[in-house]
Amino acid sequence: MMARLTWLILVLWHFIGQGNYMKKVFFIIVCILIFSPATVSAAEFYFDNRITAMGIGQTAEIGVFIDTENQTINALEGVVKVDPNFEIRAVTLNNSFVPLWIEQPQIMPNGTIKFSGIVPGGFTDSYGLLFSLVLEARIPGDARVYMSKSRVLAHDGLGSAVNVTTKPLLIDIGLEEKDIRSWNASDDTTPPENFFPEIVRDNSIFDNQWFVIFNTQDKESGIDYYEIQETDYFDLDKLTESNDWQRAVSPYILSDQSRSSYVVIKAVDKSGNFRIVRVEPQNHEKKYTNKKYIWYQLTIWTILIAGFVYIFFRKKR
Amino acid sequence: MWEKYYKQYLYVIISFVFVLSSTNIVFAVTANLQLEIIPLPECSDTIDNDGDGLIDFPDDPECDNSSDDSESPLKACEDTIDNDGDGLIDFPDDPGCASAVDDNEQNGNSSGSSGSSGSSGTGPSVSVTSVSFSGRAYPLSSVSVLKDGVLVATTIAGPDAIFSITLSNLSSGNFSFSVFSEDSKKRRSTLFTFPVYITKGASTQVSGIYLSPTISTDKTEVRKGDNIAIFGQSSPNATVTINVNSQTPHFVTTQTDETGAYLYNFDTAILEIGDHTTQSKATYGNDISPFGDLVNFSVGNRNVERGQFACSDLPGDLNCDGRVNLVDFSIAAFWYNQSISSDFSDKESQQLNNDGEIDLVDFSIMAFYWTG
Repeated sequence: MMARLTWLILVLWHFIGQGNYMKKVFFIIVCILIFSPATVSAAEFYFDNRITAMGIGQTAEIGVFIDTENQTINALEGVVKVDPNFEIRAVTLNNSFVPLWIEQPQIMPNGTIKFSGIVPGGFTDSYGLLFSLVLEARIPGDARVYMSKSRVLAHDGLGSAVNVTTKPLLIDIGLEEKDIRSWNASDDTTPPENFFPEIVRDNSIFDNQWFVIFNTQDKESGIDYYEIQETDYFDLDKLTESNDWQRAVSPYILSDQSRSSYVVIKAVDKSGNFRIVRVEPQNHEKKYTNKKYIWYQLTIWTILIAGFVYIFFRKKR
Repeated sequence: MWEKYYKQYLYVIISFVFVLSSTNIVFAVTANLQLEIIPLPECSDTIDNDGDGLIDFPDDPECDNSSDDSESPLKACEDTIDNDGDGLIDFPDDPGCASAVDDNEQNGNSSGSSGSSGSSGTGPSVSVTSVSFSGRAYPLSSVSVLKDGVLVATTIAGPDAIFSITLSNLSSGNFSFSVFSEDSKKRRSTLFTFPVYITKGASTQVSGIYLSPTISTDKTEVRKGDNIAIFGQSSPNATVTINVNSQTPHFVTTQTDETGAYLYNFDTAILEIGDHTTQSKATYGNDISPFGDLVNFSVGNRNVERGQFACSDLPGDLNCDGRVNLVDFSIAAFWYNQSISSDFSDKESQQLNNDGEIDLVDFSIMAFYWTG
């Protein structure tokens, strides 16, 4: 577009020829104003700017937002950094508009927050809350919260990049406490949303072995982690108290490839609430041909029969 | 003068045309979408609000009608009656009333609770949080709702393509809802997606949804100058605008019949040799749908009929089950930021962007073609 505009200007300059210089310049300026490309709108990452000052030791929850500038987007990623004046205490996901995280926002070892996620069907809003940072002020001075990397893709089926700008947040950290709403750990008592794991297999991963996929949301404090158990029986009370849970990330390859076990998944939110769901075994009858199970049953019955026989003959004597 | 300057005039005209032809004019189509949060009246919300075991009008005698917003009987201190005969009526005039819910006007006494007086209750009332969707799809089509990308409900539209569906017992918070439909030939519409904040105890209604028409073509390649049939389904007796993308976009219109079906034979003589896309939108009265899916075809020197559905027809469908959902997302997530295997490389080249890796662009493609 700019190349074409430049060519237009050159042609016009030639056309006006040897005429009045000011007339030339005026004419060119008018053409530029008329034909220059419209300002390309860009999506903008920004931070909740209601807090502009904090005192040492105070904590505050700062939201990370996106304004899509009336464009429909469906994928975004980035890295959030804070100046050393802050310590990042937590990352919360309540009320996030992102339903599927590729990389859930979390505090990295280098103190940054990396995130990437998608919104199936697209998203358009000026106040899209991605997640919130809980920051504790540690060192006085002007401290920034900013995005060091960012990428936003359009909902066009091609993953086209959208121009993106970022607006950092500047907070003045002083020695005295400020009148701000300090962060309190969520009083969330609601378990995560119900969900329905699926057991599938595909020749492109895990060498075509069965694996389970799962995902859910927690609208108040956000999902913290998932755990899994594969059991022969399902007893909710015992499972709730059990210590045999394994941390799990979707997709998770099953230990029992015969699919004769219950696959039980526990989703835990950041307030410790949890929801346990199960997938029924597909080959329950195979349990009964399992050699270990057969020997177990034979042993028990042998003992019982031996016991009855002993009692019977003893009575007879 | 013309003879003297005609070359300069020609240069300027060509330049204007050159610059203007690069300008893209985009018409924004805004669906006539309305969002309204309505707390249901207590006498029609299917809840025993006063705990007396009786629900709504006409079962609860305290309900005058279904629009009555209180199942509770009026307390002595709010019933406009001088219950204790002291000449003073209700709170705050009668000193015997500690508050409006005090059930005893007599001086020095106060009673009452948040529940009803007299009959046994059934425990604390629980507000039902729900969201309803309504709009136009295709006649007698199945209409599905995704909540945060997961299928949660399905209904059938009427013969007039009007549908309505309600989700109940939701928790409060931000949700991403998507609505889509499947036409009589099992073609799916694009997702109609919108974020909704669900308020606890309130009924949220989203109306005015108008799903995009489905679309397909009879050929994947058409000989230049032959016709290509563009067809699909929308609501009955609607006007369908078809856009055939080329260096210059071409817009044509046609009408749907009483079954919502439309068909247009497009003359490809005006198209350049090469790849093209087409998409459609529908208009019924003041309602306008957004443009739907893009369908690819090419103009060349032969005709190639469009065959049955192939796995490669649906980008993002990594496991070839005809859907793009959490399973495909999980498969892609496994290979995210890793070197991909040769088996997966074939899928990546056919179903995604064929760049030999899984990154955000691939997930964006998946999010566009998401079916739930």
